[in-house]
Amino acid sequence: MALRDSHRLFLQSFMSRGILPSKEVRQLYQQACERFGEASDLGRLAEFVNRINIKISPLHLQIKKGINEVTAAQYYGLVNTAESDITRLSSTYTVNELEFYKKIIESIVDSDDGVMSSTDALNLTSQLEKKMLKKDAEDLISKFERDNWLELNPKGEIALSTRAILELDQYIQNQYPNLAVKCNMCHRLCLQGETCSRCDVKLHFSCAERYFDKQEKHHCPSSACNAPWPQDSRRPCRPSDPSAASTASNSEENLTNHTTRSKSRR
Amino acid sequence: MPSTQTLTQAERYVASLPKEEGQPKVCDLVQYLLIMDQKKIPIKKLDINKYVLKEHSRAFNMFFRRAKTTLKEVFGINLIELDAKQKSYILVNILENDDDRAHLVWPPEDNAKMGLLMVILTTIFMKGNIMQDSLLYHMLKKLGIDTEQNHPVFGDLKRLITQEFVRMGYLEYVRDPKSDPPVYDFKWGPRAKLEISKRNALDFVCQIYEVDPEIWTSQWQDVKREEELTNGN
Repeated sequence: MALRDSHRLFLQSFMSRGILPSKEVRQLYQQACERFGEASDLGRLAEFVNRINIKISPLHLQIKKGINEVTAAQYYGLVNTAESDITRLSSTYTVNELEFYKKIIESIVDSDDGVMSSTDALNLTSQLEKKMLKKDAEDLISKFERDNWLELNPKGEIALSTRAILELDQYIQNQYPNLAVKCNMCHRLCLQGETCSRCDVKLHFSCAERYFDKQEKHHCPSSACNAPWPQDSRRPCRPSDPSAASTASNSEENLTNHTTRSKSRR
Repeated sequence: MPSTQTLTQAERYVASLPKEEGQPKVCDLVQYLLIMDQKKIPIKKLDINKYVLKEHSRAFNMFFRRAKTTLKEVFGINLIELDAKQKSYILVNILENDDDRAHLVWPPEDNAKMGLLMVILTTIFMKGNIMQDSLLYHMLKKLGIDTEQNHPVFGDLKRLITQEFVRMGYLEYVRDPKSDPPVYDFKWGPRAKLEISKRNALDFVCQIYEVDPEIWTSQWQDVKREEELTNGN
């Protein structure tokens, strides 16, 4: 079925912004319908997106739903499904800049908690074939952050953004089959989450929350392990509406939780 | 009728391709055009053949037409020839970005650059569609933009105006043929003519001065002439 101008406007917005929180996607959908005199029905948003996806799939593009690993807020992102390489970034960054980004991905995937310090990130420049000044690397990290490819948490640590995970989870799983861990519950890539104290099982904070909610005593979901699972202070309370206003208060809560956690670790 | 002949030839050629080769090439071409458009640099036929079509270059017309259709039907974007001699093309959005409820966003530097460009284009239009460079620089200086100095946001302003905006097709920077010693003038580039209407430019000025467009008699007539021309087409 052919697309209408409302679909085209919706798609253009995704091309320009890359990723949008669910709430803004709903607004965009209503705005697109309104502008071209069509009735909007939020219950048919999925159908609306799907019609676009059918048309853009031959171009290796897809509008995909994703979840922020820390806040559990929902997002929609336009991703490139060509698995070959980091194609979509290659138009905006130089080869060396991309090389630096790949090194950051590698370190984050290799880490236990899915984050790395900015000092460690800057030190990665020494591994690049072509020289990159620390100052330039610093600017570049800000640029990655601005373009939504990296996220800084309140402690100043670098994590992969929701957009990056949405776009690159296939790439990461192909590149680092032994390092990339999937969440035991949702089976998606899991970088920032809770790890079992005994085995390798990992859970997203929000998945852990949902899973342990039904249990009185918390144990590792792997039946082979079954080790006791301590309450992780980073786990967010389940938001009543995952994408709406509660997101802000959640991230604030995380901020305080992060600090207490880092103290107790020392 | 050479063009019809090449077209049928091309069509026959595409039809002779294994099925899995034709469609992906169109998709590659659409993706290439979308990526190149982000930099706002006109896309040359030569580069399309070199980087995308390669051994299928002889069917350029066919692939080009199919890519044009996809861009229009899926993305709401027109693929337009910018320069017939150079064989270069640009993408022009069919859906206008609503100022109050913008569906498109740009990084702040790009936004600032486009703001400066709009001021320059409007000034050129108000000066009768052509303006000597020193005059434009003088006008910008009065607005607090000194082209002799490095600007905190725009960097090297002369490079931005005389090279970057020219390369993007927004401005033309040409020597007045009669001048000696040489004098250079600014005019609207071909992309500006496609993306921005003269009415946009005049409305912009009217907003600043809070007046009706009709008071600028010659510009108003220019707007009318342009609109008659587009409506006539």
